[in-house]
Amino acid sequence: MKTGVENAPEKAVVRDQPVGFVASFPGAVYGEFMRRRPFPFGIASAWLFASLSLSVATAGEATFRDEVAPLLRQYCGECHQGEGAEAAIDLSVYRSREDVYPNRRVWRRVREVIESGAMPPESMPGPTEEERAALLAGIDSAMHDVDWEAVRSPGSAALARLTREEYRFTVADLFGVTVDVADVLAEDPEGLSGFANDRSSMVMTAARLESTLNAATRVADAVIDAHAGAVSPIGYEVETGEHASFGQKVTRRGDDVVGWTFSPALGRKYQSVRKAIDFPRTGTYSVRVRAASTGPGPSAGMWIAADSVNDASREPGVLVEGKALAEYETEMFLTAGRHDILFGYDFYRPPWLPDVPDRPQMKLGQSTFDPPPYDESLLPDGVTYRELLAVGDGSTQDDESRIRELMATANRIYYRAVLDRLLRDRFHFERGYLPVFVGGLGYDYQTHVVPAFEELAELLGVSRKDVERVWRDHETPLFRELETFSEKQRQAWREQDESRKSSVGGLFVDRIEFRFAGKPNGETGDRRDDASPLDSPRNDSPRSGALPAGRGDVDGYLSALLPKAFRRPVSEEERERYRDFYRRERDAGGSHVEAVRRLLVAVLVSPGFLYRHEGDPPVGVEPLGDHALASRLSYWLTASMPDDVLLAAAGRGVLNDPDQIGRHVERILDGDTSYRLAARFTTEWLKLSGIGREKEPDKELFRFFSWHLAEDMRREVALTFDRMVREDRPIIELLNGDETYLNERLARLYGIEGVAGDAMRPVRVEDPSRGGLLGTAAVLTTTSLATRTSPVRRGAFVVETVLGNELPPPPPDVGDLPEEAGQSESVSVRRALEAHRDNVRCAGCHNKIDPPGFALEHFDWIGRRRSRDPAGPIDASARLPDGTEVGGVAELKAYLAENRKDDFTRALTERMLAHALGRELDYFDEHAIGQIVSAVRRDGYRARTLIREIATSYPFRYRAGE
Amino acid sequence: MHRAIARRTLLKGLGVALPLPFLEAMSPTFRAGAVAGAAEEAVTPPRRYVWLYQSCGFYPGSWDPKGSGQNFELSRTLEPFAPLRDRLTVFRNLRTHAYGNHIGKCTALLTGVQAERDRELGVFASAKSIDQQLADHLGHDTPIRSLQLGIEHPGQGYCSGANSPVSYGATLSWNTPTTMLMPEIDPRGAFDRLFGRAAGPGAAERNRWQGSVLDLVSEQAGAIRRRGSSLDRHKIDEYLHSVRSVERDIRRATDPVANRWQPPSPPEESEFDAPPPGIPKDRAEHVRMMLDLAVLALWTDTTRVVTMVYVNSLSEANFSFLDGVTEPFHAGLSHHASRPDRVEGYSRVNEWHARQSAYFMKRLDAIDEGNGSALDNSVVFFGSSLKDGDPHSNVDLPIACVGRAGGGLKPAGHVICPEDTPIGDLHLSTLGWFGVDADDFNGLGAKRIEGV
Repeated sequence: MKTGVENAPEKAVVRDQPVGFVASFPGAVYGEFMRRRPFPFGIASAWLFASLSLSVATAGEATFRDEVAPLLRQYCGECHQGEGAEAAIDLSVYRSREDVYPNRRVWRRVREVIESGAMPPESMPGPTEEERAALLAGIDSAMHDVDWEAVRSPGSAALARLTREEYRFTVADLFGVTVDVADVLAEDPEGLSGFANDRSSMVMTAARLESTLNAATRVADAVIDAHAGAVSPIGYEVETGEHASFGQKVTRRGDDVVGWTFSPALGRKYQSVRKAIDFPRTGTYSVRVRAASTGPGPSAGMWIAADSVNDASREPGVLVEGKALAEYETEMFLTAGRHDILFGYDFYRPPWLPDVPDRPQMKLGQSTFDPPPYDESLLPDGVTYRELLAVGDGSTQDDESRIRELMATANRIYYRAVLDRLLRDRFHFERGYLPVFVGGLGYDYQTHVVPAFEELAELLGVSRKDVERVWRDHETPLFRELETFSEKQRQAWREQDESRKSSVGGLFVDRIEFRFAGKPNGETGDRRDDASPLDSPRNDSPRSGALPAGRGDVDGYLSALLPKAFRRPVSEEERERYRDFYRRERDAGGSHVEAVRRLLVAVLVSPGFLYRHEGDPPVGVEPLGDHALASRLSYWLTASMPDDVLLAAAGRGVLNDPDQIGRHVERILDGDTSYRLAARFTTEWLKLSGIGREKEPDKELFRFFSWHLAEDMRREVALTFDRMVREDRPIIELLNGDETYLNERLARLYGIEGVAGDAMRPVRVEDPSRGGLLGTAAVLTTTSLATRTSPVRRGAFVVETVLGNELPPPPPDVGDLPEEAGQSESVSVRRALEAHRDNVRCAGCHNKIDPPGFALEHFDWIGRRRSRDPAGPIDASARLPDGTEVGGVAELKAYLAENRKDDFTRALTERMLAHALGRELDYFDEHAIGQIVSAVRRDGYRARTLIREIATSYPFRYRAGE
Repeated sequence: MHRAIARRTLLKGLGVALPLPFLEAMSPTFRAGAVAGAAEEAVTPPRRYVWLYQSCGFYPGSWDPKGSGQNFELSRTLEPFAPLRDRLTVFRNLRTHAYGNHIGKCTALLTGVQAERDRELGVFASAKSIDQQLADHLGHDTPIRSLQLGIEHPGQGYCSGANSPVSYGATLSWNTPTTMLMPEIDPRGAFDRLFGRAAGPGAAERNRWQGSVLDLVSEQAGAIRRRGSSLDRHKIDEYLHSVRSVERDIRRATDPVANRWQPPSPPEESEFDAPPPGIPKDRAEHVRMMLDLAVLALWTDTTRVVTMVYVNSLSEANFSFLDGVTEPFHAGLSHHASRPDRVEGYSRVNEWHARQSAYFMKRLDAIDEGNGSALDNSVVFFGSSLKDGDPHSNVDLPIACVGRAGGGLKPAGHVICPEDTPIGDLHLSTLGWFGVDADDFNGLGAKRIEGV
């Protein structure tokens, strides 16, 4: 049988051949990636810990040879032996115990299929109960009664390349400038360890190098700009050559004033500019805009918003009057960190519409307008437009059920009503009256109607296509009426419009500046609590200004820059090369600044910067060199280059010592970058990056769902983790903590009162189901489908992520949820799953997975509390595999925190260690894992002990030759 | 002719400060006479290879055509290809030899070799994929050797297992056994990569100094290579290889190959409007933009090899923008459990992808290249690495292609291969259509498919 593996011509490599076996059992969906420990829920860890302390069972070898191997031959040999073995797997190669534990992937699965009875297949003779027990015991012994210390190794891993995130942080800390490269450098795929910093996934391709070159050019520009002081620390000035997102023009006024011009003719939809700006502190900022009107009359307005995806949070902002450039001022509250500042043009109250009242904020459910006077006979019985328009945004249970109900009957009509309304509100499109923007049938579908569709789609959280479809199906009476007007009438309107158009001013904006105006009352004072500090440079990073002033300074500059950029001492010869490069660029006619710019680009795309070379390959096992260790530490803990203190310690050659390392760990965690670890680790560990991206709850039901909320969800977890680390709290609080971080949006989702504003702050939660990872919307959303919960995914989360157990993949011919579950009124998810477990093939795993999944059913698929689902009242009671009965999430949490904390400790240890090392763990890491886990246990499960123990562990401090 | 706004101008506001040439300069190299002497020698149109891939399979009841040879009846899913029927070939009974439900089968589709853990390198390793092998033959004179496009983030997808990387199911292209080529999902990023380097004012100087930068960093890479372990060397070689590729791109941009293909009917200048930055929220719009970019790239001979991934393996994608589609595509529809409503939704999403692909092919077909259309000079594959998403089967894969490979391929309608024909046979045959002399594909013992 052809597997291709052996035949691949270019791979003269040793393969973990058994992997193929792992995944080749029926249903190996994810078999490629199976983790350790096949133990069933409930009995695993105690046994394992006991086994770690055993000495090697010398009798084990004989047992394996004389008892296990013959049984394997007898029952598995028919298919899994020799050349052409079924699924390219040959069990006959495992002759002794020493062949077994290094190939844990295979043997975990072999054990699994034997235990569950999936193998041998029914058509073949199977072992007796006694034989089965003997097989399992023999395999267990061969896998676990191992002298892990004797077989330990730090492993040899390839050169690590900086991830996109690390690149950005390193640049920030090296130059003191924050440069967004996200649109240039692609997201790094996660590697075998499940983390993006995995050395296995750091592929370099021509496309990646090219984008690295682009990113470097952008950074170099920013560094030079910052040096030249062209941009104020927080602010934005339009420069020549600017181009805004959607066609705004950069124009020039007079000799040296350049700015954006927003024209009323374009409508307002696309008239905005988005800029990422870093704010150093949380508080109120005075926003000053230098602007002018471009028309004769009072200009339209300008609005400014932070982090706005749609226009929901637009503030009315500033009314710009007069053609002379003048400074306008308003205020905004902003948290520290990076925000997308969006500013744009608004028609504001057009002066030629004197009898139209001030346009209120368009918000469903808070209308001050009368409902449109259209034909209510279109609506289902008993439903009025007013009612349709008064439905909330879906953020409460009541809203949601009302929306469901209405949508079942009046979906399209509902859109229609809102569309009509929107046209009227936003585009002043009234019966018998044609405003300028939808000019007398000079209205342009693309310019006017499509934006209205989009706006409506945004408001409703549906796709534009949906709205368009409704539009066509039920052509709005307004437009139908329009078409009946005579050409003469239309012409008159067109002329009227033209004259009106010219009387409305466009907007010209030249500069926006933010000045810190102090802390607001009642906001938390700790900058970490509400910051989104991921993007802030470190405190000790230089503040620009350090570029060489002229040719003579270049050498000195390089002496300072290169050792930091390459995170190691740099030889004279190496520096000379960069100096030469500068000289050649000057000789080629470049100015000093231009040559420095190119020099920076060269540094930033060099392998010395992009890769973390850990030194000459060791012979056998050697302690890691100090500079390599410094980089490992700082890239793990801060996603960035070592700071000066760490680099200096490495320079003195005193770093690779547990006490030293421990002190640096404490120092770094006390510093201002601890959040980076928390955010990076939790997002990847719990797979939260998809929330609000591909993981988007059904938008018809959750119109309020935005990436703000998605980001809030992630930050809740990250901030909680960060505080645990900073305050050295027990990691068990990740299971049962009663304090979490919330802002208004999240609190509303959770039904918690008294939290106002955008800022995340610590909140003690009364409800015992909240607090801890299992009570967070982030985890609950990421383990759900778009339209319903998935007890299977949630249960798998508990079993795998919380308890660190390994689950085999489902058989290939069953989906991940039994049919009809949660869809029909008559079949509850629970009942469907229970039926599922009657199937022997499913039961083995689902007995472990489903109970904890059921216990979480009081949360819906975005983490709100609920007591019913479409099938009726929720029953969240569950019987766990070890017999424990839990009545819901609170009891599940208590159980996990009480009875399973060692499993959780081990699970977290493994994930953090893999993240710290940037590689997948292997059998030879078993000793280190055991050591770390015991130390953490001894020390009250403290978070910093975990981090310190990892940083001082054998695989972290050593490396092995090949 | 010249636009007032420089590329640099366009990009700077978005933070990209690369000094790029004028907009109109993005297209000049293939304008008649742009390359001295080009008009004097007849140049045959290039041949192109394209794969349009969707990972979650096609419902067999909707995909499988009836009949055989040219005498066959288009199926529901293949109906959108009716206008191109004379150039359609539907292959039956091709299979991969891969296990696992999704990712392994995805990696094996164009390589014939399932990616597996390579213990020594600590990475997944597969084999060089067919598109990349063809790029070696087709791509050396084009500005970009090959193009990988996608719609979803590489990390997208739900996968049980706490450390299960789903990224390996995000691409079809492997340049070496260990170098996956991740697709570009940002239309603007793809546009810049395709046309950003084109000749124009300032390009010569920029390319010169960037060339010097690459010289400098190659030296440093060499030093690390000398001091590195073999694992390190593997990574550094990857880096050096990329440096050489970029150098090649620079050379091709500033110094186009003489006798380069000039499309007799070049694209309008407006075709070169850069897409707005950011990834469109609307999937239909996103797909359309990517396909349009691919058309432009092939039209202008900027590249001759394109792979496009519509839906990643284990995707969380939701196609509820289609009528009658309510369940998530992968977990809900492709795992249809034979329920009629899900089968219907599954078929609708499949059909939608067929329509997108047909759109792409028709656009190529509208490009007259003298001896036929650009589609005639291409082979555009459409299909999946799963037969049916419910059992995740990988036999009798849904694979169809449209085009003639410039005469190398005789479209044969419904080609029913012997059961369990390895996918390598298709790839070996493909090499033949493109005039590449090969006896085997990736050492799989492949044989050519008869009748095409």
